[in-house]
Amino acid sequence: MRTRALLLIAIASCCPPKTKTAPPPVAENPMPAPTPPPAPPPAPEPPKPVTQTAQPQELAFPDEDFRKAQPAPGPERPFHLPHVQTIKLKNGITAYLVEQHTLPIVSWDLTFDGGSLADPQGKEGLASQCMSLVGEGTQKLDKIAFSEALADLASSVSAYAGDDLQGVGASTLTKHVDETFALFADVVQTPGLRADDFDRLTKRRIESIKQQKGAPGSVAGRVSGPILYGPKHRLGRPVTEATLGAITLDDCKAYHAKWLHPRGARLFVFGDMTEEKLRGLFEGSALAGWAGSVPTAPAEPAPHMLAGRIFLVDIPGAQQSVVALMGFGPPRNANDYMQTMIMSSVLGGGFASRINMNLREDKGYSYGARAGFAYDRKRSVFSATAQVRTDSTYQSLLEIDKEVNALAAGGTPATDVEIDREKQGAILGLPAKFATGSSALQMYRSLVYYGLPLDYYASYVDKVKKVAGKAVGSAAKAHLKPGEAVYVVVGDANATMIVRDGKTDKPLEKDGKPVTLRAALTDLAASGKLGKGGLVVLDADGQVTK
Amino acid sequence: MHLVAAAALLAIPARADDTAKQDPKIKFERYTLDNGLEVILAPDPAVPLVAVNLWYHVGSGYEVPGKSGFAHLFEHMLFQGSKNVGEDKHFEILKKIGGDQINGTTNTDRTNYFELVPSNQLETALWLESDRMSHLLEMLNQQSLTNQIDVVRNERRQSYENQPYGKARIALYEALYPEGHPYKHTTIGLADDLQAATVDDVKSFFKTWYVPANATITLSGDFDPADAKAKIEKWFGSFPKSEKPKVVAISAPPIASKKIEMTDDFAKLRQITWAWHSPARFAADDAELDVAAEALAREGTGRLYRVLVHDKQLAQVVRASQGGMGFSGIFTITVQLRTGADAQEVERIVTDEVAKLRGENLSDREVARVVTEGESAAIYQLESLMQRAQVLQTYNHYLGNPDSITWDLDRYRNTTPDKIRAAVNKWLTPDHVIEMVVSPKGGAS
Repeated sequence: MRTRALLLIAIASCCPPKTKTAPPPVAENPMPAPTPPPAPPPAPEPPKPVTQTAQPQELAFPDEDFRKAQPAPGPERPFHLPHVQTIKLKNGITAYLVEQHTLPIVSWDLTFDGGSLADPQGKEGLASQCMSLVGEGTQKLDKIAFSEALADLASSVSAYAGDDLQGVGASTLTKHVDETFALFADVVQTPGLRADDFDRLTKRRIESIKQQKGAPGSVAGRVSGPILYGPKHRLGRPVTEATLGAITLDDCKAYHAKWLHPRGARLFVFGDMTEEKLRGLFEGSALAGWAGSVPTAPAEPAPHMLAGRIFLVDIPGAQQSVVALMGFGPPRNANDYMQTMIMSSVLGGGFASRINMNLREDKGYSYGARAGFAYDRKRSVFSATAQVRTDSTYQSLLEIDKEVNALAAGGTPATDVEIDREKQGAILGLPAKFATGSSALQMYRSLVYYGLPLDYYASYVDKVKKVAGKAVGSAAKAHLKPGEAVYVVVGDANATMIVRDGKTDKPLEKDGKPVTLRAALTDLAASGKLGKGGLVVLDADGQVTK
Repeated sequence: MHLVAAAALLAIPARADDTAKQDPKIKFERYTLDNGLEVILAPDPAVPLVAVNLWYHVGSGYEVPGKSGFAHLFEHMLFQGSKNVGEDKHFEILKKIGGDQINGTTNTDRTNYFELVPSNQLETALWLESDRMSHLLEMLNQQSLTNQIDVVRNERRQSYENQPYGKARIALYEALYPEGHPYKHTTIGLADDLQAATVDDVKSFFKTWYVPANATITLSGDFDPADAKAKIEKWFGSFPKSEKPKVVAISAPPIASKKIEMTDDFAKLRQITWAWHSPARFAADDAELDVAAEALAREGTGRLYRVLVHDKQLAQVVRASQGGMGFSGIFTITVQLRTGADAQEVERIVTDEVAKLRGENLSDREVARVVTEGESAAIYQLESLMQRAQVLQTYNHYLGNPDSITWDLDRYRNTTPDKIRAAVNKWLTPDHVIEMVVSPKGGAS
């Protein structure tokens, strides 16, 4: 390698460009010519880059009449929803199985109620920290030996905690199902819970939080909980270095002993598996000594939004800002779910949606904008959001507000074309949601989570078909409620802003001077255009700074 | 061809002594239209859906100086509209017929466009794809190009400039290649080059690279092959005969070792990356260096993971990868340091571990693990119709044979600790490595 490098330099410097010899100066000018500095040795010409040489081909493409219109669909091919079996296991686990035998793979996830929402005040992060620790190894195998055992099988076993669910999952090739199950069973019943793993995980998580506070995208995720839920709700209290530091190994031992029990747990399985085989594993000797019930999670307190209307987190130097309009929405089992779904799709459900066409395709402020309802067991959070070029932050916030209001107040109701597009898309797009065993299981799993019946999708098409334009308008009015929303901006507070003037952008100025994001939002809040409550500046933990 | 059962279309032999015979196989046929367009059909009637996946055999690695980011900008333009489809209608039309997984992506070697549609709507996908292959330029205008330049610049901000360590990724490519080399700028391109793109540039790029003979369309899913052939003939068959553009292979001139230090506005932890030139994708030593990367950095079992993350806790994250591209590759090791960790100690450990790979063989178990992982991944990737199409396209593009799962896995099964050590000695040398240190602005905390 070294010889090749030298050779290349040699070739490059062997043939310096031939410089033209300047003609001798003609003494027309009486002033003596300044002595030219000695000419630097001619720089070796860099080697001419090798580039592609292909040339355009002039081709005449035909334009037959049949190309002028979208072709008609062929006859519909029958689609059968994949079957899901509900199996009550002897130890009290309820299993949901989607069989799929074309590939020799099996995945399962054993889930338990509980999760971050039950974290005690002052120990935020307990559930996720302890479940991570559960996944580190077993009493028999430490972290390294456990990782090696899995790597030899190309299997995975992992543990996790979400807000209101937690679990231990595994996936494996069929031929390694027994060995993988043995490792899984040990993790569930007799995890290692070692002090050195605990310390390492805690330190790692503290470092992750530092990094989360670094960039606008992750900061926006971090502060939205505190803004929406307020300090009396767990989701309103961020995980910090301090709360992680307050959690002990004994807390995690107690956590495992409290939550991970079979009775009341739910098991989701897909792949090359049968009821008989499943019973053999989960009712067999590996879990024989495992008993008890998953406790009931404590009641969740009501959220209380932080006082204020516009929330700003300053990230100096940010090249883009996150802008969002956020508020609470209806639960997943609301009667008007279908029309709410169609309505939010029109607003922000995909590429063709209003806010994406506005912020991306019309104005070029963003790479993409979205809006929709994110559901949990109790309610939903509505958000309309985009990452936008820094100088367009202010205008983007106005555009998002405008689009939400246009639907909510009925100024620009969803058109028949939009509603038809979204309804057809939801109906014809249903098979794609069940295209694979894992995606089918995911669909059923959501139903179980929301407490909806497993045959929900049998009547789905009919329900979507029945959604009327008027109902879409009612859903917009009932659930968008911009008057109760908050506006969140994470970006460079001292960057100057533009404003839209017809079809072009111009600098946002006040008294002839450029206006910063902070000043623009201060004025906007004072004007009351987005409602009362004023501008509140937060830090990256979502805590009020002034 | 007639329809056969799904299990046979995704043949997975139950057990056999010969491991290669246990490899999954995707049943397909491949043929070429008179105009040069290549077609791959992989029927599977399990679910009434078809993945339509079209590759144009051009990527950012084919760009010429001053036109960086062009292949990707062009990908955006292909969604803006063609004569018979209309402006900005692509997503709307596909959404209305129940389409899913609608997107396009660009890398150094190819640009792909894809959608998953209900079986009975296959023809609409063919209409969309054929119209933008043939009648794009009639719709091309400055306004829409200007808009997409803005959008791509936003994408650049979102993916690089506004991300921790994002600018370092751009700087690493700049350090690895000389001026004028097509890999010098990442696929997203230089902001100035993007800004300078003209309608004429777009036209010229289209006429050079987006000709039928430089494209391959793959259908994977529920369709009758005879019917699909007739439909493909209808929508693409009357296109004029084209020549497959000649591709000039561009090698990567060796680099001298260099240490680069930079600061990052958004990073909170120091990060060190080591990068070497390495073999092209599927070229000799590509699999060997892939095994070396896994042995170094895999979570839990990797050598660097163990010492840096687990034992000494100097690092938050360790990654290593062999990234083969069409003409050459990049092997990287990246370590994110814990706050307060001694950077020199980390440098010494990484240098020592790489030296150890040059001097001593990996264990058989370390190599066997990567083989097992590859055999397993080869099966998992067949679950989705779109991924199956991608697998066929990938092997077809790089190897000229879509049926290469076993060939690919054999590279790993047939390698040895000796061969891996030889590959490490050849490529991961101390004389030709870029070390890039990224520190949080204001110094590492």
